[in-house]
Amino acid sequence: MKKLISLFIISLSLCSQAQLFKDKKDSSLISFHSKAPMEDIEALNKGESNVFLKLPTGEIQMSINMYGFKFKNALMEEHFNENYVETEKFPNAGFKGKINEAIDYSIDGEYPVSVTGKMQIHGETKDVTINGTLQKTGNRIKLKSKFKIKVADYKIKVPSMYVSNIAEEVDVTFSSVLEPYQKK
Amino acid sequence: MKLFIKNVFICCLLLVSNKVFSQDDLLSLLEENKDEKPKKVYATFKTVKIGNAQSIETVKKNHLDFGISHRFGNIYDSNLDNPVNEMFQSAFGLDNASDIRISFDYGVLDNLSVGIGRSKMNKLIDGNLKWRILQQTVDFKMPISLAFFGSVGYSHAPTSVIYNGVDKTFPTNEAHRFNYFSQIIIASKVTSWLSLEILPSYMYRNFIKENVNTENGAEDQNGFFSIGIGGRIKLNKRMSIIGDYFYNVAPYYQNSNIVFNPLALGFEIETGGHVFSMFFTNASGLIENNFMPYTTDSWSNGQVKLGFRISRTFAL
Repeated sequence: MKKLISLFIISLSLCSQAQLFKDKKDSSLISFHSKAPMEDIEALNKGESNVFLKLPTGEIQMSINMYGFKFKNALMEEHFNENYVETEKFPNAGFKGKINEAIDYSIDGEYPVSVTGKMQIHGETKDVTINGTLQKTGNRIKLKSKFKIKVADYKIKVPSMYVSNIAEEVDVTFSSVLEPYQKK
Repeated sequence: MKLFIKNVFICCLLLVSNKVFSQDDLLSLLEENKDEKPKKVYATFKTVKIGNAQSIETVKKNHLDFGISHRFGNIYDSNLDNPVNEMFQSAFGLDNASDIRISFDYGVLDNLSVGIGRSKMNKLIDGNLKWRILQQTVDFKMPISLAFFGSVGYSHAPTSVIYNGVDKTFPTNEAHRFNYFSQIIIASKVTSWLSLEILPSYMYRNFIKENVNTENGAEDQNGFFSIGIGGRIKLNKRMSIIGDYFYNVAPYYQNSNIVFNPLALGFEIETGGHVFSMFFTNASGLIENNFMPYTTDSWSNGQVKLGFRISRTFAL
């Protein structure tokens, strides 16, 4: 019976006009990779973010808990939080944007998309356009993207003696599985 | 029938809530869904030591902290016949080395480190362990961090030095070369720029020479308690003012003109992998086993030395 009810809910919510999706628990993965001559730095944020997508307008908004980035090397993690992104001052990063392409979301499939909006890291906001894919399967939406962030754009200062340890541009990988949002 | 009503009810609710969603600002939704997991506090201190005192920090897992600590001689010493001349002659104590300690500290776990060190003073080899048991969280639900620090010292000085000035009516014993120090470290990063510590401590020496405080007649004891305070004021991202002080509770240390309480005041500069601490202190020793019982210099006599510690952390 419960299944029937949820089926009912899903079909109903599909019919309604504006619809809100949120990332499934622990499905959002944000990782970054800095490749510099001296050091490779990698960190992963698993599920410590919130992603919202509004259909059919394609508005995307997300907040990322900066404390959620885990490094293999605990000292790097401490330096990341203390010296670079200053997590105590700026605990969250954020993004607010809109999908540029007009997509008929009632049809399942994988669509290349670009999102234009404002990215906020380290308290600095910048206009960006990010490319990625949107895959819709039934009631699920999978978002995927790979892009670069210039450290200097967000006023993250790297002391001159560490320029060979930290790359100027950091590769960011993002993926998330979204489901219809159920208010708590 | 009941179920049907329930279904209809849920569907109505959903339709209504869907409408609500579409009007909602996404930002307020983000607020509502904020992650409430407790986050641990980073970098209460930058390195494993403040000045003389241990900080709450341990060496991170699979890292090796190689440290060189140094105490120069007294800048000024009012007990000398011609202190001003001596001050310039010794270049403010730079000619002398009160103590030098070379140490290796290794992080077994992120909250457990073990270390070895060797000091010039008393020719002391020490083995130590620091275990961080409680971890402060950013939301202050856990307002403090707590750690245990223990250190065993072994002096390899010649027997004649160990028993120097002693009326030796007992056999030489290897155990006389050992001393022990244990400590609870309670620390809190109050704000991003202020970190404070309290360090209740206990020192025990297997062998002590008979000494009496002439002021109050109290004899030196093998074991005594001490309470320390320490702190850091961050001036900017890389530079801080540091300080610590130990108050030895035992009567032998009260108003003494032979032994004093160690006080250190100075600066700490961090440059990524290196932490450089530079400070002034009356203590000669570099490890608790030495400076706790054997600080024989006093700030009031100008017997202050320049001390520094350079450490480099290697990822293994």
